[in-house]
Amino acid sequence: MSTRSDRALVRDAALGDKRAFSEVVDRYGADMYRFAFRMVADEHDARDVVQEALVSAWKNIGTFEARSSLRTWLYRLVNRRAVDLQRRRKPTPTDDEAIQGLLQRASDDPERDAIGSAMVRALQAALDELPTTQRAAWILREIEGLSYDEIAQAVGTTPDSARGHLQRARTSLAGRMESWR
Amino acid sequence: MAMNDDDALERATHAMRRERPSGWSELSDTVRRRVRDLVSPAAALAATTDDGSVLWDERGSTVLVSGRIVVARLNERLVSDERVLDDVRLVLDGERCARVELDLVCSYGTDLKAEAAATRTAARDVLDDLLGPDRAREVVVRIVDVVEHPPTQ
Repeated sequence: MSTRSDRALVRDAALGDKRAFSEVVDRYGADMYRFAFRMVADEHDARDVVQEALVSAWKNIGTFEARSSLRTWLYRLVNRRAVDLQRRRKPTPTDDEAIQGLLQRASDDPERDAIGSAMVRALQAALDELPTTQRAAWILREIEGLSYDEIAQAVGTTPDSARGHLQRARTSLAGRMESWR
Repeated sequence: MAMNDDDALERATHAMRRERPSGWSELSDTVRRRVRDLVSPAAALAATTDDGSVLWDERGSTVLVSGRIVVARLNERLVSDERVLDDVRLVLDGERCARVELDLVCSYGTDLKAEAAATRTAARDVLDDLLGPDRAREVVVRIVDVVEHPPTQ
């Protein structure tokens, strides 16, 4: 396993070293894919999003200025493409009845599936109904473990605003998981 | 099992962290293939004097050469019937190109030592021409494969 720092990988990839970029893919790609999947809730779409994000990273790695970490920059590329895809494909519903319907279907399911798996589906359904910035903030914090500053850089906002998005997301999700009490 | 809203969210979050979507291995292969087919990004390399110092003119200007140009010229000059470049890595020290690493694929039956020496000499000529003579700049040649068919195929 390579011990090259992120900075060294960026510098070498910017000079056309495809192996260095391959190490970037190995180091962060799987997490980018998980983030994309939770954002778009579809494996096929998540693959498209991550492919486009990584190809863009390769083309533009010379412009990466280390104002954020490499990891945060890559999440930002994923977030932009995931948001674009969502805008093109479907409006974000805000109808609470529709949300409850999704959650009810999920919570009717535990006899057939393991409860943990059903809860994940219910949570994903609830995530899908959040505004995209709230959704991204919550996933980056709770699943990917980013700090408020990193979330702000990844979604293109301020740390205070990121904190606000995250708090609203938590409140909504807790409410929407009520059927699991 | 009774739980409050926060517990339910916490448990679902914990379960979600453990789940990963399938297909990462295939996806990473696809990304690598696409990147292999794309033109490399470019960083700038500074022209240097023979002791490796960045070359400045009397007006405080320096010449920067795109890494893409250096890699393209190395590819043009180093490929022959007996060898092909598999990879080129330019290693920077600041803006100075401190080392060039060249991976070669050669044809079976070739004198590998002679090919490596010829490659090193030709690479130094290209680098001296584009970036100026820098005695401290290393050129490392690795032969990473030997193939029976002409390596350019």
